[in-house]
Order: sequence, then structure tokens, then C-alpha cells
Amino acid sequence: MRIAYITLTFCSLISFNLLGQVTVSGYVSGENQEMLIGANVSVDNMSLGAACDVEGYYKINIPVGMEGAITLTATYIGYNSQSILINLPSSGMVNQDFSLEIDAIGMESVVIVGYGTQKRGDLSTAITSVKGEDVIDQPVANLDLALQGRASGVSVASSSGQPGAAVKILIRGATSITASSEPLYVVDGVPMTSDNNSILETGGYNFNSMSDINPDDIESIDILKDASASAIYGARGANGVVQITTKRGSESGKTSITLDRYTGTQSPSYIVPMMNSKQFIELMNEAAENDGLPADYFSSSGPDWNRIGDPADPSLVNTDWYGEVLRKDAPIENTSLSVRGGSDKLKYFLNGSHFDQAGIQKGTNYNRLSFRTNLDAIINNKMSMGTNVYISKSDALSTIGDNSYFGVMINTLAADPTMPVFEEDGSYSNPFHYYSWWALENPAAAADLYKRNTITNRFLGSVFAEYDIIDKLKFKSSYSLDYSYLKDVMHYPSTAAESWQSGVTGKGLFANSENLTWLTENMLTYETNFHQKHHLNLLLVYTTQNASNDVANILAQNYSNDNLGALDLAADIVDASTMGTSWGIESLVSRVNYNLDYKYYFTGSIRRDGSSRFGADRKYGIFPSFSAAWRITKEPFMNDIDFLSDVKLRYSYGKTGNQDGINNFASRALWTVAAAYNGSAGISPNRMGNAELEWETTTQNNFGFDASFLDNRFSVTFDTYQKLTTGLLLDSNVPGFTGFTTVTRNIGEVMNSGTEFSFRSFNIDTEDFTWTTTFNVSTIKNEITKLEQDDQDIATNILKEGYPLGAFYLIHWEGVDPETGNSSYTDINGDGVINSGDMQPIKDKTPWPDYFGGVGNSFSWKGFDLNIFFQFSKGNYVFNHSRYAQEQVGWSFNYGGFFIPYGNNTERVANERWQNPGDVTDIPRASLGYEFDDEGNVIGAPQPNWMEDCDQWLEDASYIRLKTFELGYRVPSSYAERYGFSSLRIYVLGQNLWTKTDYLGIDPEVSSNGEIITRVGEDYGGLGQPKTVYFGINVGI
Amino acid sequence: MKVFNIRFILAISVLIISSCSVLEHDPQDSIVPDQAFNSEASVRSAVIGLYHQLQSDDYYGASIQYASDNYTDITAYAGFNIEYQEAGDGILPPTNLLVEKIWLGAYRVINGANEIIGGVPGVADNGFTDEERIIVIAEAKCLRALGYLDLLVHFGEHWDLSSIYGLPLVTQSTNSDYANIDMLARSSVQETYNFILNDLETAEEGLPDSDNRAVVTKALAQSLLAKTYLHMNDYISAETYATQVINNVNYSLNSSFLDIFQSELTSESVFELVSSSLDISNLALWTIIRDEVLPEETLIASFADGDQRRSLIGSVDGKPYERLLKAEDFSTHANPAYIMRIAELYFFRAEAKHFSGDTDGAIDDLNTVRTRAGLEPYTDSNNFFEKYINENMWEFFGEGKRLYTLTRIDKAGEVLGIEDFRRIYPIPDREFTIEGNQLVQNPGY
Repeated sequence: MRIAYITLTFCSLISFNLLGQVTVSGYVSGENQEMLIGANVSVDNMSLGAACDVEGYYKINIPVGMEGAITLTATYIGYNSQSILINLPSSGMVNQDFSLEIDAIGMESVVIVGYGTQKRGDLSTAITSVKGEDVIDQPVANLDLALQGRASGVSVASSSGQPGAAVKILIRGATSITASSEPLYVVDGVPMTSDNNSILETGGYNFNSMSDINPDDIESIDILKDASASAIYGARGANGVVQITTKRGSESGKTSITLDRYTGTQSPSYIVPMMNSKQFIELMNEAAENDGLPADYFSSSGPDWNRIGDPADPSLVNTDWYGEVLRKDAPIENTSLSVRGGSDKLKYFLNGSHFDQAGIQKGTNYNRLSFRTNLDAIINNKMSMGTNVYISKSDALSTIGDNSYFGVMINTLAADPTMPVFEEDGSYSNPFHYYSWWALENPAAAADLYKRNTITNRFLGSVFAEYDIIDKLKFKSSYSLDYSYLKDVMHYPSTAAESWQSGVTGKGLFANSENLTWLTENMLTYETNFHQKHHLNLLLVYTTQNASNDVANILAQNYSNDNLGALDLAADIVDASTMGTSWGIESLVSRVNYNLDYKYYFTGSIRRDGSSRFGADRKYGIFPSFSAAWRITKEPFMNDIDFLSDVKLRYSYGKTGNQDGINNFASRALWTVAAAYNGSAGISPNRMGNAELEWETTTQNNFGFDASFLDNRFSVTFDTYQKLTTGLLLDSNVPGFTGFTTVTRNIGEVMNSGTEFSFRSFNIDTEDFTWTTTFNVSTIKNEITKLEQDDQDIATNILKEGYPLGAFYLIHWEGVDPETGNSSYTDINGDGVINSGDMQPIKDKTPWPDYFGGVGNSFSWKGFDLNIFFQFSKGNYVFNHSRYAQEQVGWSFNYGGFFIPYGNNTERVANERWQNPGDVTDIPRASLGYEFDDEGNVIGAPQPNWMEDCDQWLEDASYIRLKTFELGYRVPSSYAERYGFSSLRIYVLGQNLWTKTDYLGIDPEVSSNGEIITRVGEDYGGLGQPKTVYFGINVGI
Repeated sequence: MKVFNIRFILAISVLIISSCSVLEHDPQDSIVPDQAFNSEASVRSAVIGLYHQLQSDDYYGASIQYASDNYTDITAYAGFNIEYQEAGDGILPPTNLLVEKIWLGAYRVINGANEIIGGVPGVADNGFTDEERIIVIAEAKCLRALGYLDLLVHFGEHWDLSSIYGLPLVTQSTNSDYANIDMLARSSVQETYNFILNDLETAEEGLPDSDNRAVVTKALAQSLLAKTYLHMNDYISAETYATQVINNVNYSLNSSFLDIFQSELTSESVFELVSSSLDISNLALWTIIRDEVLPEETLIASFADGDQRRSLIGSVDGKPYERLLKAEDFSTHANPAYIMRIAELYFFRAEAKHFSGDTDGAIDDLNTVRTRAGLEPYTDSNNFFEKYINENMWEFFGEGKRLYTLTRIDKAGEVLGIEDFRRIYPIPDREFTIEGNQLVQNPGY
């Protein structure tokens, strides 16, 4: 329509002006000098323009009398438009070429599909892409976290706010119980290990070697979700594949240098308000009085050893423990320098970066120094070669984390507010001398004294060569290496509770872990077109991978001096061991990609994988898949429906295998050689073998469509899928009388099903002002459909048929009786006692959300840009184990009349506990937990109002979070050039600025059990994500 | 074309080089079962491995002692570990994890012993003589019997010889192969006793009369025979075997009660399972480090003045409450487990004599132990059981002997106030969740 109109205008203009004519003409090209036929070039604010012909050439005749400057804008579907200001001469020809950039997530963008690329528009599979710029400049050490909410079907949750901590990333749900549910990470075609190699007990959070990768290097991330897409990685693709492509050089002949730097501060996004000393003593007094003891028992009327203090005393010590261990201004900064350039013979990309993040919890820090060199060289017209080299060194300072006796956050949970941080003599106060049982260590001491460093040196390198054997047949070979050397160094001085509690003067640890993975890939591709309409692409790959890991660790104790922690200064070596393990995979892959006239698409692939982990006859698995797509808009009957620009229906089906996360020798019977007694070495049976152990298989069905409307102004993607994992690699129970507890077998099935929906719309797209909205939402339903050994309970979770993975298993709490203030529980086994026999599986409240996603809005006006991104999750539940420790309402231990309160309580307990008959509340009445006679002696202990493993602590952790708020300004190029820069942008960015949730704990996203998929959804001394504000500049030279 | 050929060949050769044995990997820190029986040396290290399994926290490393003491009137539990809390409350549901640990710990030793008993005959090593093989098998059988006896007195109706609630008797190892698992049912109590006696008799015959207290010896086999016969109410045999050990010059009551626990391997110990800083036990972890397994107030109050044994309960770094000190090394955790000491043999004989009618002889034996502790001997043999129960409590607190002793003399209900069915632990719930399970639960649970 538009073209017709322009042509008409054109003709009418020609008809009445031939003298003083100015014409503007040129070529419009896209990637790789490809001429864009039909691209449109128009003059802004005038209905004047032209379309490009078959050679990509346009010509516009400017009306006589027009003079001065005009802005020309070139547009083409799938490309970002480009505007250029030109000055009109009085007459003559003006030449202006355009070189357009592909819209990174539009239909023309190139997507990495595993051993090759495809245009997004040609995909028959479900792949989500995230632009590099959405993940760089995010103030996170671990790039996984930058993906939160950005890709449908991909749920990313941080386990802890500790810098460098691992992130739990699930693509289309959790599939496996024992084996890993982690997706495969591929960086520039090389599968990477993402293990935690540190042996330091960090409690709930683990390190993840993905934090070694510098987010600044990333060009794009393509996430392969359905079977057909991930089948190409068969052996490890069952849980989806995250493909990361780093930046490469350009052929333009120009070198561009960019410097990016940001610096800012972080603070906790939420701190649970705790009682102060006065409220604490008042609570204890009320508890005593409720139980029949005299009033003010803990301030004046009780025996001396029970006197905590006088609430009215103005000099009463009041310590805000959260305030003592958390920083409100932890610095974070990142500096990155890149050089990019090249010619048609050699392209290069170099980057050096430094990232430094102090944790919001004292005693934690993460910094990383990295360098990258990506080179692509054309040797001759048949052969090209390249190399990617990445080296990084990172240093993580940590304390013991969640879920561990001497952890900082865990001890802070219920630490005694009447305990000062320091005694008068300057030493750290000892929690055992104060009035709370909970803290095993002074939290501030735990943060300051326990020094633990994990230093990782990582090298990722690959070298590849590509050779054109004959016209359409190419051969590519590559060799890659992933090497890391990790060192754990730990020293606890004699003043640390862990030392003096064990009667030693200091403890030290040194451990190292060396990982070496090498990968070879050889592939043949044949690409041809025939009869103009048929496009065929054939692929054959043979790849082998070998990984080995060697570990040594030494533990020592008793130092004469607290300042030096080197092991040779210790008096006793208490443990020393070395260990090594290895595994390998060998695979043969073949794939056919065919399309008829870009209208009907078909892809089929078969993959055969062998793994060293399985039984002798079961090493190999065959994994086929296929997908088909139909581009409806290319059909003749769709020609008149103009508002639809491009609609494609897709279906895929495939099988992928999984063998990650199980022991390297899972199928073998083994005896351990570490069974010493009385100074002699011993051996002992250690693992039961199963010669029938084989691959776990995931079969996935996916139906989806991609549509764009109104000239690509509005585009949507929709997918619905079903993913069934069978032959689950599971440690199944064997009878105890065999001398073993488990054996790894293939039993059980898990089903994940869900839908994903995302859209992008260019709401307003004018020269001065643009507004784009992106939105994605996913639903997921997870269910264990078959489990041979049903009802396996693992602490507060259970594995049960018909229930999801990670289902909770808790005693049911019925609430607080308004008349008595006592809690009641469901005695499910009817034995008159409430204990572990009354735990029940819970079906409707699970750790998995009903739906989750993100919504982003980007605005630009003149040089300003504003980016606002929200992330949300609804229906995910968390077992707030931390709150159990903080709402004991006065329960105390009884040591022969010496009552030690369990710990401090939250402020909620001060304000909302039951106090009088008729009060309706969820916090029971204060009580020490005992019955007393008239003389104040303990005569019994009634059913407590406070139980650990009950669903009183199971909370709805739905949330919506303002994840990113970024405001930037790009200085006009004329100003920038005056100072020698080609571009300059300054910005301010806030992350996690605002969260709305009903969850009472520190962060609805916390998971204290790290990556144990059967025990997700627990918060026990977790540390939430920080709120960050920082300023940055991007400078181009 | 020539150039093309060379390059092509280079490419293919890369392919060939890379297809080496990526699928063949062997563990570097473990051995396969066949290697365990290829020489005498490996068999002997397998025997060492059995002792290692005894040291596990699940078994004599802490669980078997503290489960029993918390369950009875010896200790109270003041912590937040549910498994110990349930023991402390005296109400153990089948889902209790402590009970599960003991079951698993004992069967691990039994499996290790079965491997050795089955594997020794086939060891191809000429230096390994037949006499030596007999001794090794005797050692394994003694440990197997120890495991079964511990299980029987805690999980089986050991007081009732006609009961069907015995143990699943595993006589052959699966050789760590899943395909060899045999889903056994529970044997009767009599069958279980017979099996134990069989093993102990072979052990008694084959084991040397050594004074190495850290391993099983002929004397230990005799001690276990005394205990087994006592449980079976065969008092004559019990007395005979107990006397044999008491008369053995290698073993005698240590004149200082304190010294038994503060020195290593004193004359008191018949079988003392040693530990070291590199091979720790968890006995001090629960009582001192975690401060959760604490002596009952009633226990502390019950000691008579001058009882040396009272000094094994005391305070550590000025805490206002006292703790068990038999396992007092809380820095290197080299606390041994006293599986059998000569004092217990005196108790066995006292009990046997009483039931045989020799009440004076019974009190004499009881007095031998009592006077060692610095107290005045009992003057008469009235109220024998009251005296017996008290002495047993004062002598063996913290050593895990309370529950089965009270049950054996049929005083558990009276002293502890528990229902009859709670005299033994429930079979762990995990066994019943396994497909093909043939076991039945103890009545009442």
C-alpha cells in the first residue's frame, strides 16, 4: 500500500519539476553487505520517499525549493531503522548509503541452533533469545541472575544474596530427582562445566563456576527449550541449553574501542524487624506469668541466674544484630575495556574487565579479573580459522552461610539483643554467657573472624578451523579446553567459637580442585538449494568429551598465633586426603534441515551418545527428534490479510538424554579404601552396583506459533509443551539388611507441562520518542507421575507420586485458638502425640509458581533512554524455617530451673501475639513451655505451641519486583566528537529497588538448600538479594 | 587437488586421534569387589574395614549409646534434632531417624563380615595358610554375631523364645550387586539366637587368646556368649562363660574408675573400640560440643556420697550445668567406645547367679564392682533387683546398656514407665516402603 502511494507521489513530482532538482540516492545494505531489496528510504516529516530495487538501490527526487537539512530514514523488516541527517545542495546529486543492523530479536535475526545458525524466521523450534545488552551492565557477578524474567519458560532464582553464589536456573521445569536439572551451558559452541568445585561448607548457597564468565563479553544468549532444539545436544540437552555467544570482531576496517564503567552501592532489600531488648524481656516476663510464675520473673522476681535485665532500665544493652552484620552501602564496581575491529581477512575482539562486588553481609566479597581474545582469520578462499581465549581469576571471600551452625545469617536470626557485640575488654562477647540458646557464635564474630577465600583461575580456550571441501560441503574441526584450578583457604582464629568450642587454638584448611575438560568436534555440513524452491542443509558431527577432576584437602588445628593461618604452622593435621575422578562422552549427531520456499519447514535429527557412567551394555542411547513449521503468511490465501506480517505454526517432538548429576561410577559396585582403624588402612563395601543403569530420557512435545502484526510492530510467541522424563536416575532405597541404603537405578517418571507466552510491541515509534514493551509469562506444572518407591520423605519434603518435585511434608497447623491462645495441630495418625508421625504431604502449596515472568518498558526521547523491568512470580511457596527460629514466643530450655530463652523474636511477635481471650491472631500466647506447681517447680511440659516442621511456616512467596530501572543519556555525537569520543552515554541504574510480597522473610527468592531439587523452597538463615544503585558511563573511542 | 588431499587427510586424522577411549574410566579412590579378595593383605584390610564400620556415628560412634540412654532414665535431650528429641520423649515413631541409623549401621558390619566369610575360601594366595584363614573367618563371625546381637536386643522380642519377631538373617553377601538382593522375611527369635550362638562358638574356637583389647578376641567371644545365654535365660551357660572371662588374667577391674576412661586400653577393657584425631568418634560431639545429651537430674541426684563414678559427670568451662565426661576429649575426638568391659561380666554373672538361686553369690559379684567405685558393699541380698538396677545405672551411664538390661530382667515397665511394646525399637519405616518387602513391624507400632 505504502509503496504504491510513494510511487504515485513520485510520478506526480516528476511531472512538474525538472530544473534545480536535487536527487538523493544510494544503496541500502544489511549484514555481510547483503543488499536489502524493497527497503524503504523516506524523508522525515514529509511524505516523500522511495523503495529499493532488486539491487538495493533507491532514488528520491527532492522538490524544488526545498533546502537546508533533511533527515533520511531507511527501514526494513527485521532490521533496526537508521536515520541520517544530510544537507541539501541547491542542485545536483547527493549520495547516501545505509547499512542497517539486524534487529536482535526480530525475524531476520540469526539464532544459534547448535552446530550452526538459522534465521529466527526459519525456526521450527522453540528458542528464546536475550540480547547481550540486556545482560551486560547488570550489577551481578553471576550472569545467570541477569536472565531473570527475560525469557519465557526460564525460571531463574538466586539461592542467596552472597556475591558469586550459584543461581538455580530451570528451563521448563525440574525434571530430575537425583541427576541434575541444570541446563547445559554452551559458550561459543563449547559446553561448559558449571559445577561447584569448592569444598568449603557454605551452607545453602554454592559457588557456581558460571560466575567465572564475564557478562560484558556476551553478544547474545539463545536458550533452546524444546526437544528438537536441544536434541542437537542430546546427551546433555534434556534440561534445555543456554547458548552464549561472545562478541566477535567486525570486517569494517575500522577499530572501535569502548570503555564501560559503573560504580554504585548495595544495601539489603529487606530486613526482618526484630524486637529490642525491652520488648524481649517483656515477652519473657509475660511468658513466665502465663505459665503461673510470678510477674517480672525475668527482671526481678525470679532467681538471680534467670535475671535478664530490667526493661525500664535506660542503659539496657540493645544490639541490632542484623544491623551489625549487614552493610547498607556495600560498594560494587565494574570496568571493561573492549577493542573490536578487523578487515575482511582478520576480525578481532579483545576485552579486559575487572569486577568487584562487596557483599551486603560483612565478610563477603567477590572480585574477578578477566581477559578475552576472539580472533577469526580467513586464510584463503577455502579455509578459515579462529580462536577464542578466555582467562579469568576470581577471588571470593565468604563466611559460612545459611543452614550451618556457625553461619553469620543463621546465628543472627534469633541472637540475644541484650548481648553486646564486644565485652568491655574488647573481645567478642560469648553467646553462651547470655540469655539466648540459639546463637552458637557471636554473629559479628562469625562475619569478622572466619576467613575463607576461594580463588579460581580459569582458562577457556578453543581453536577451530573450517574448510570448504567442495562448493557446498564444509568441514569444521575444533578443539576446546576448559581448565580451572580452584583453591580454598580457610582460617579460624582461636577466638572463633568453632575453635574454642572444640578446645583448639585455631583451625585451618587448604584444599584445591583441578578440573580439566577437553572437547573435540568434527563436523561436515552440506548446504544446497535446488529448483529454486528447495533449501536443504545436512549436518554430521562427531564429538568426544573427557573431563577429569583432582582434589586434595588438608585440615589442621592448633596454631600458636592467630595472625598467620598457613598450615605448616599448625600443630595437628587432622585430616588429609586426595581424590580424583573422571568421565567421558562420545557422540555422533546427524541433522537434516529442509524448507520448501521458506513456507514449509522440516528438521529431523538423530543423535547417538555413549557415556562412561553407565553399565557395560547400556552405555549408548539413541535420541531422535523432529520438528515442522508452516509459515502461513506465505500462503496465497493469506495475501489479503495485511495486518499479519508473518505467522508461523510450529510443532516439535524429540527425545534427549541426561546423565549429569550422578556419580561418575554410578553403575559400578565399589569398595572404599578410606576405612582405617587403629592406625591400619582398611577397605569396606561402599556402593552397590547396578549393571543395568542407563540414560535417563526426556521426551518432549511442543506446539507453538510466532506471529507478527502491523509491519512487525507487534509480535507474539506462544508455546505449549509436555515434557516427560522417564527412567529417572534415582537413588532408590534397598533394604537396610543388605548393608547398603541405596542403589542408583532408572525408576520413576516426572512430567512437566506448561505454556509460554511472550510479546513485544513498538507502541510508539516516532523520530523523537519511542516506547517499546516486552512481556513474557510462563506457567508450569510439575508432577512425579511414577515412583517405584513411593512416599520417600526427605526432612520437610517428600517424593510422592502425584505430587510435584520438592513437595512439602509438614505437620498441619490448625491455627491459634482465640479463647486460649494455644496452637492446635492435626494428629493425623491419631496417637495422641504430635510428632514426626503426623507429617503430611501437601499438594496445593508447592515451591513452584503457578505463573512467572517479566514485563519491560523502554522509552527513548531525544538522547534519553529509560528502561523499566519488572519480574513477577505467583503461587510459589517457601518453608520459612528462619521464622520458626524467630517466633518461639518465649519457649525456653530448662536446665534444672535455669531457663534459657530459645532466642529473640520478631517485632511481629511483640505487636501481634495473643494476649487476651478473644484475640484473633496467628501468633500463639507467650509461654516458657512448662507447667509449674505453686512453688515454681517444673512439673510437666504440655504440647508446645511451637513446632518446627509444621505448615505454620509455609508461606506464599508470590512477588513482583522492580528488577531494573535505568535512565541514560547519550550525548549528541557532535559534542562527543569535540572531546575525541565517538560516543558517550551516561546512566544511572537501580536494581531490586522495590518488591511487593506478603512473604514475611528476608526475600521470597531465597533457597537455603542450594541446588538440591528435592528440597528447594526452604529459607533457613537465607540472605536476600541486595538493592543496588549505581552510575555508569559507556564511552566509545 | 594434491593440496586438497593433504588437507583432507589432516582433517580426517584429527577425527581418528580424538576417538580414543573417552568411555573407559576407572575410579581413582575406590576398588572393585574383585580386588578386595585377591590377596591376604587385601582380606586383612577388609577386616580392618569392619572395625571402621563399627566406629560410624550410626553405630558405636554415638547413636547406639545415646539412643538408648536418652530413651531411658540416663540422659535427657535438650536440643532441636527431632530424632533425638523423640528418643528423649520416649516415643519413637517408625519414622525416627536414630533407630534407622542403628539398624543400618549394624547391618553394614554384618554385610562386611558376610563378604569376608564368603570371600576368604577363594583367595588365591599361597602365603595365606588354612590356619590363618580360620582365624580371619572367626574374627568376621564374631563381629557378625556382635551386630546381630545388638540388633536383636534392640529390635527383636529377645525375651520371648517363642516369638516370631526376630531379625532378617542375611547369611550371604550380595557382593554389592543389585541383582543379588534377596527380600528376606524375619526369622523367629529362636532361629536368630541359634545363628548368633553358632557364629560365637566358631569364633570362640578360632580366635586366639590375645590381650589386644582393640580387636575381637576369644575373651570377647566368651563375653558375648555369656550375654547371649543370659538373654536366652540359660543361666548355667551364662555363668560358665562369664567366669571364664573373669578368671582370665588379661582382664581385671581397674582400681581407678576414672582411669578406665582417661587412659587407653586399660586392663578393664575386653573390647575397646579406639579412635584418633584422624579417625574420630562422635561421643563428645553430642554431650560437650553440642551440649544436647545431658545427664538426667534424677541420675545426678541418685549417686551416693563417695561414689567415684559420680566424677564422670561434671562441668566444662564453668557452665552452670553438668555433662557426661566419659567421652571427654572434645578437641581431637579420640574417644573410644567401650563395647565390653570386665565390670559388665561381673554383672552378667551376678544376674545369672541370682536366677540360679545363688543370691549370695550374686550380691558378692555386684559388690566387687561396687567396692571398686569406693562404696561400702551391700550387706544383704534383699531387693536384689533394686540394687542391681542402681549399680547398673551408676556403672554404665553413657554406654548404651540401659534399655536392653532393664528389658532383659523385665523391669523396663516398672523403672521407665513405658508400655510393653515400647521395650524395643520399631523396625525403621524405610524398610516398609521398599517394593517387595517381606518384613513385618513390631507389634504396637
